[in-house]
Amino acid sequence: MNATDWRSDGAFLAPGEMSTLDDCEREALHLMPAIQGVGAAIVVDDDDRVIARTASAGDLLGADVLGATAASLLGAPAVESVGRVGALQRSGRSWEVRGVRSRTGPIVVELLDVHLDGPLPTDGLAGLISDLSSARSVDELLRSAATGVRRLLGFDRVWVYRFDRDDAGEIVAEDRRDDLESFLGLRFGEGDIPAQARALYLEERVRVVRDTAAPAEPILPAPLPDGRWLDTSGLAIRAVSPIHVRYLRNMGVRASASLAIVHGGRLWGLISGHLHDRPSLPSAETERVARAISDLVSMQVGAMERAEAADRRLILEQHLGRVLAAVGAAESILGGLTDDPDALLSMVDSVGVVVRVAGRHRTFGMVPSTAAVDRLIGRLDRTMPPGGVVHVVESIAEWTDGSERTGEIAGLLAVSLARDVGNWIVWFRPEQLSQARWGDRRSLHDHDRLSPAGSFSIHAAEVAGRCHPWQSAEIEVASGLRSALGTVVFQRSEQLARNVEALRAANDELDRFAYVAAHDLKEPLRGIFNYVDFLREDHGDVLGEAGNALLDSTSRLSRRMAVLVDALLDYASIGRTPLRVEPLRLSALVDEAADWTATRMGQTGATIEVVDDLRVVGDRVQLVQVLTNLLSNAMKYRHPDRVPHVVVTVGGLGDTERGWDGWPQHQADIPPPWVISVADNGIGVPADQRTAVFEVFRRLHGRDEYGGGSGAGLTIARRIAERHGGDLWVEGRPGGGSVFHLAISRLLDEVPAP
Amino acid sequence: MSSESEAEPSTGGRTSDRPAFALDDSEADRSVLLRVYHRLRLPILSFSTLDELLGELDRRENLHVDELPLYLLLDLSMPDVDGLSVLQVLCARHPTLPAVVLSGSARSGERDAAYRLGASGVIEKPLGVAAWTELARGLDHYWRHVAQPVGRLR
Repeated sequence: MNATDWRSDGAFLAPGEMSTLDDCEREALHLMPAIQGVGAAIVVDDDDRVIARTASAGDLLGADVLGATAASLLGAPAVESVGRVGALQRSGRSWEVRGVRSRTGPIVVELLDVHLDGPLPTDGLAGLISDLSSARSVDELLRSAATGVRRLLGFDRVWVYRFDRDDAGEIVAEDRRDDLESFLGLRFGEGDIPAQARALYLEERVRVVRDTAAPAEPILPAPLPDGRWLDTSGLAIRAVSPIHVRYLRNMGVRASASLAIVHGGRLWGLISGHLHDRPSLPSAETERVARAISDLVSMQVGAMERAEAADRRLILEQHLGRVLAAVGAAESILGGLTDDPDALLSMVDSVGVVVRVAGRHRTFGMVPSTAAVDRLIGRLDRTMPPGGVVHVVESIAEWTDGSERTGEIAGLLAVSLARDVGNWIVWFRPEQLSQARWGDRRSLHDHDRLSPAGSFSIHAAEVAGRCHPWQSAEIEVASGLRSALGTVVFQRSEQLARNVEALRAANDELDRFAYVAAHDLKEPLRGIFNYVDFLREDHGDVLGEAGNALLDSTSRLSRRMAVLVDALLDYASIGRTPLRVEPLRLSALVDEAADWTATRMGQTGATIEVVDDLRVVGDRVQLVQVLTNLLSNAMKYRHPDRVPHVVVTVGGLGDTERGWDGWPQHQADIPPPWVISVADNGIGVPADQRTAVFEVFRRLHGRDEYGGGSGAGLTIARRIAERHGGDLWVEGRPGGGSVFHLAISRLLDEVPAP
Repeated sequence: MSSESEAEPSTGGRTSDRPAFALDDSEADRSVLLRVYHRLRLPILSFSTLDELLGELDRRENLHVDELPLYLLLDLSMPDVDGLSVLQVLCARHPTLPAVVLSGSARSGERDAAYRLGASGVIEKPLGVAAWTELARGLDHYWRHVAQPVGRLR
């Protein structure tokens, strides 16, 4: 609700319909057709005729004022009194005459009893101005205001309230008669001063409740003869809410004056003075001084708030600087962010923080349980509007409709770190009630349903589960961290992209080199082999047995080298050949691999059992090559006492000994790979050799044992698995034999076939 | 034309006399080819450069069909020229000449590309005289007695 349009907000209760505290928010304070019982008022139309009046007006101005002209009653037309202060002697007292044009049209002339007011002590005013001007902090300023206002205006007690951003208030300074109880530190909920009352304070900076013992004087008729309710908001002695009057009475307050402290277009605080034993009947002059004090304090508060905010911001930014320095020096964003946890916590004045990047997270300080953090982050992901970066929650219970238990944690401030879901820094704050200021929950007394005690208990219920509000400087610093990280991430991703590109180019170059080298090696190799044949054919008879044996060795070695060169070519060509992915059925792939090994299967009597079938997406030729290699190995490395038997099953990473360890793409938003397991009952691979078997040309047995071979088959097979976004590894099989696990990414079907 | 030619090219009109042409920059590979073709008494002319081959083909272009080579054996790995480009040029200029690619390492990518450009066959060069002999016998038998006298498998 703001100062200009608050009157049009919502539906107000008609005057007189108020009954409970809950109605406060709908109470039409500005339409109450009454003045305080310390004066009189007449309402005058454009013809200067009185159309409504208080009963007291009759007492002061004559029995029959209704219909008379103001000129005849006051000696001058009402319009001449607008904006001026006149004087009138009646009933042996001096009365102030003040005219005001009501927002609803008619002029209201008020007659105010000011007989108790005298000149203000000039030394008190000078001292107050001096103290307010020289205060070095907001706290000192407010203390000076409390003391000076009480001394100047003669109050029994002065409270200075300060309102939070959510309009809950706290008594932050107090000056009082020694015999009065202190209420310093007491907090009030935002409902304690309803929004429309706060809006009125922006228009009328000084508000005086002159005598709670004097019953309000109704302005009759109400509504006015034209059917409208008179807007009394500009009146000096407008009646106040009966709830507020009772509230004051319950505290033993006879009269009060409230001076608004306005900063940034909102009611920042109030200086509220109380008289306990007598009414307060300030003259216009005294009220003007009060308004000047209100303006001076407001101005000083504004200047100090800005300076304190700048200081505070500087401190927060120093913490931010420490965090960013650590990020800049660290190898990973996560590591950098969590290198200086104190700075990370302090940069937004929090008690706990969770940093979650790419599925990994670290926590510091007081945070909810891991499960609760997971759910909160899930909710943040769903709640954050597109393009949003910062999310502020001051009551997690309200935010989650009470579904989340977070212990003492009541609020969070979260910044998203990337477009991907699940990457967040979330800071936490505890419930405000658990802080020291709430240690002394005193009751103000009395069983009246509109008592301050009732008001206080309502407030206590409202603030339960809320944290101290996040300040704009904290939100801005958090947002600044996000922006700075965005730059760091961008620079790193650029660097990473360049590295990846360079690595890819280097790999391509290596592949090309291996291919060309191997290819070119074969030509002289064939030449050697062929010329040895020529030599044997043309001159074998003269070389003798020893000479021919040397030729045989040369041929054998040449053939062996040709096999190795072919393996190198195969290996290099895996990286050079584009994947031709298509939907495939595992059983069909196994059948094709079995065809390639049919001869050896026939020789060994081997059998293959496909337990689970699966639809995969991949390159048929390459996957058949892997399976052929595994089937071939199962027969080559068969156990002497067992007929080879191969079992093909399908599972997940969790079904393997390795599990998720080392799986590079283990992230929540990447589907886990397919895992095809090929188990044999052969001689097995010793545990300490299970990495070595995948090294190129690495052989665990003699060259001619188990049928020979290039020693590159598993290396090539693993490379094929890697090209399919997966991996190939071997584990032992209970009862003897090996299990080769072939993991294949499920995302290949999103890659268009070349 | 290579000086290593050991078979006299036939000038007759019979298919059985038409020579095979071979283009290969490798002396070792050419020598084993010539040895086995000669031993099998199969006519062959070998060339070590593309220019030599094209010159000989041009020279024979206007002669009787019997003067034309029966088929061409082509090595794709040649210095300073892209073997696949050579194949493309030859297939375009001599569409009736079957071109059989002899490759040092006939991997699937190269094999597919060669077929797409019009090769009639892609064969990996074998090791040893015995394997070459078997290859030569099979190739020559196919193109001399099985395939149509002219035209190329597409």
